[in-house]
Amino acid sequence: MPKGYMGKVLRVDLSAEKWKVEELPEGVMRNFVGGNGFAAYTLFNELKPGIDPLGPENILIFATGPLTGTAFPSSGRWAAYAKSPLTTAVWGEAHSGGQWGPELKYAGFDAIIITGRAEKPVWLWIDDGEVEIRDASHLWGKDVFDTDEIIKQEIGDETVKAIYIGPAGEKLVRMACIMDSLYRAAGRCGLGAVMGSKNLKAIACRGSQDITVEKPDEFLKVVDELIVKMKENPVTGEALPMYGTDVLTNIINAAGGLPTYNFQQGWHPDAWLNSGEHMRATILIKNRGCRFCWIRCARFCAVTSGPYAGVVGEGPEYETVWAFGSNCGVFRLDAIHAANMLCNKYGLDTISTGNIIGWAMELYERGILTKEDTDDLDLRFGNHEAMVELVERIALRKGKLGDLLAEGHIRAAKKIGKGSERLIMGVKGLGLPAYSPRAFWGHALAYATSVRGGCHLRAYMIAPEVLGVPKKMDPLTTEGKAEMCKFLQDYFAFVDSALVCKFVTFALTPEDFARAMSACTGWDWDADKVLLAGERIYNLERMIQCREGVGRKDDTLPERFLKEPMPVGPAKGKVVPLEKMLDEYYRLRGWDIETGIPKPDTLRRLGLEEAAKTAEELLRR
Amino acid sequence: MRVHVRGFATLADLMGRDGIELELPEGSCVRDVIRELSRRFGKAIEGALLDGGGGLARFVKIMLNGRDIDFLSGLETPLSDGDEVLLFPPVGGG
Amino acid sequence: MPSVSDEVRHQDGAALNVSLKHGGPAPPWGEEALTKVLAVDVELCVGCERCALMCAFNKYKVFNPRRGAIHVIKMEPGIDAPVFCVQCGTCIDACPVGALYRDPKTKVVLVDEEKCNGCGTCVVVCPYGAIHVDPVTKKAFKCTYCGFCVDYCPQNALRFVEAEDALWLKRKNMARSLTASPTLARKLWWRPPLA
Repeated sequence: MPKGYMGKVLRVDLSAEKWKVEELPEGVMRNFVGGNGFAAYTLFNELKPGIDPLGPENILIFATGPLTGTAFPSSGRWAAYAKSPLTTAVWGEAHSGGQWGPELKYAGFDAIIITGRAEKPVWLWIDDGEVEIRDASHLWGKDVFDTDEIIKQEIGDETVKAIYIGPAGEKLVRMACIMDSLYRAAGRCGLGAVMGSKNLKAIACRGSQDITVEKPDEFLKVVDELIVKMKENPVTGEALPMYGTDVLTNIINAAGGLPTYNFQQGWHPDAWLNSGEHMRATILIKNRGCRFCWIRCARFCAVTSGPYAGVVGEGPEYETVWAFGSNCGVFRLDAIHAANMLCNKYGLDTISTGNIIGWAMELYERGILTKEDTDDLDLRFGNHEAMVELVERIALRKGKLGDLLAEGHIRAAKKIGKGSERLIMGVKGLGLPAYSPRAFWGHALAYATSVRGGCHLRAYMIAPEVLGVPKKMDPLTTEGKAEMCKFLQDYFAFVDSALVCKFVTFALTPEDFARAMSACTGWDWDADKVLLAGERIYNLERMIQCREGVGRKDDTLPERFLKEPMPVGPAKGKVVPLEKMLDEYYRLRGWDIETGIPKPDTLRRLGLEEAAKTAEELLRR
Repeated sequence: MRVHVRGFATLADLMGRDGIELELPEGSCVRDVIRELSRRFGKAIEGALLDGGGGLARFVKIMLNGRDIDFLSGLETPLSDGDEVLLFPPVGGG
Repeated sequence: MPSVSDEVRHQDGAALNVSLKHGGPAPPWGEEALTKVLAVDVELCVGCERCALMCAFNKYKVFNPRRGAIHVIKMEPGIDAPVFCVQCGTCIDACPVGALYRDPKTKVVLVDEEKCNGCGTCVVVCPYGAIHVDPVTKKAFKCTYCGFCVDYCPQNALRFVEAEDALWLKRKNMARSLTASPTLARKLWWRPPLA
């Protein structure tokens, strides 16, 4: 068994209230690494197409990777996977920092597979390899803060690490997330609702087992070199610790790509009020870091005056600042942090929630929603009190509008009608995050092709198009975008499977990962193998969605970005020339250009025989 | 001609404030802005923006009216009256 | 307000190559240097626990922060601090088999692993919870000033300080630990603890 891994997977059948331990097959480690790869492998083999994501047949996976919990920089992460109840993308995936990921490994497991549905609310207690399925009736209904505290009191140990859902997950709000140590979230795709649908309130871990590596001295030598790279890189070594991710607000606004008023425009003169610089001058107390992080980009803010005085906690991150900021026409950090803390408290994805509130605001301003529909909330852009109130209503399904929006864009639009679905700023049902497609064409391609839907993380094209990493690209051209998008998707798929924080990629390369993985597992990794494994994992994820009907027709963008020229700012007059980039992307990927389905040859080259057979069937139709 | 210059993140700290008007002769280019800033605020500005060989330091971004000067004519990009020059040190996030 | 930018970059030249001459991880300074003290600027700590991770790795070559001799305490909202041995020597007299001793040159209190029988008396008497019996080796393990935590703290919160300069830091930290600030913070900003 290679080192780095614990070699064991915990399988829990909540319907039978039974659990057992399985070996993690070495073939899975070699070919799929862990994390995303492990989940893709498991879901491809075990998830039945066509099932209800909120039903007992959905499979909920929690995974780490071989580098998680080691000295590799920023290794304290974990991820959750399942069929998404929010999106049409099928593949649901969300990563989180915090504390819990390494602890799962110290407790003896690389991953957890959860099937079925418990009869009444339960929570899992994993204590050094021993597992208990405990009654959670006293936890059900409690918010994230109380849940954390009660669990620690019940166990009698404040050092246990726990993940949990809040009331939003319990109420099957489709944008509900899973929280770690109060403030960190596995945010997207509504996986909190999947956990709630299984009546699973929390998973707590405590472990005393060692993670070992094959060549400790070599591993430390590599880590030392990587740390030097990260210290010397100005993004990971200075900008992120000082200003946090919200350092992006000013530069994205300057590039004309800060989505404002539900993506109607990409620039606003007041954007600086929401910036990381302004946060540092006002509500910031200190920075913070997830477990074992080398970057420490998290914020810790306290609002000490005004209507939101008393709001304290980690955050807000750039995405959150945008979602409850310019997207809703709000330019004050105190209201944004208040909305952020409500999302933490109830377990709600800040990106999806801010996105859908911005959508509701545009509908209200256009008269598609009236005061009767909004339960008397004056949902004009900029009304921060209405925005904060609406966050709570969505989390708790309070009132007509809260309950409606809790169903996510697509279902809400079906009920509202009146052309509201045209104004959804999402791809495959996942609300778009904080970069405007018309200002960053490569990133627009990333949105359209990301496996989980409108996501900025599978290929963070902002890195080349704004920052110049790994190389500088003009955001308003199509040249080279498809190739870079594929490269980043493959590279990041590996990073998400070795399971460490993606931000290390501002400083580290596939070669760096290969060296660390070799010293860790004892296997012979190199940069090509890293990218090949990433490509394999990405293609398998793609097949999981293709076999349920996802294809080229879904790899698209809202009409606004394809047809309406950007009205103001540096990207004025631009629309996204998507089709051209998409054609090239499919060609480079080896996918069928008409349907977007991976060609059988491509899948066979990657060693995915079963997937190739499925692709053959799909392409025959 | 008048040009509005603004620095962000660590460059705002370095410049002392985050927005000034510069009076420059006709025919000036972006490099002249940097020279004028280092005249006013010290050599530290030049050190933060330029590499050893006089080119733009890696990861530093200068935007002229919203466009990265790398996609215009670099430091030799000519300026006009009323232009906005934004100086960004290396930044990144998610 | 704490300045994050000050010395976020790490001190160079410290103990990346730790000398194992003294029969265990040893302080990295020369034999003629004045006594130095391991100190922490708590305002810089973000609770990332890399210190504990690397401490355990230096000693046992595994990744398991619980086995480290430095312990990171996180109390929400927002309080992070590492706790480590201050070399007070309370454990020396308490040890029934004389396994603990103070190195005359470095002033660091060390465990003689041959004599240690894992009885845990030192654990009982230590006022700081800074020594523990390792569950695998069954020997007491405590901070030996090897310097790994100092090298690997990303915030440069942990440092070796000349004993004179450490005086103010020690007094301030003691005052912090004796006040009600965590509870005060909770009541002011967040919520009362559960009854």
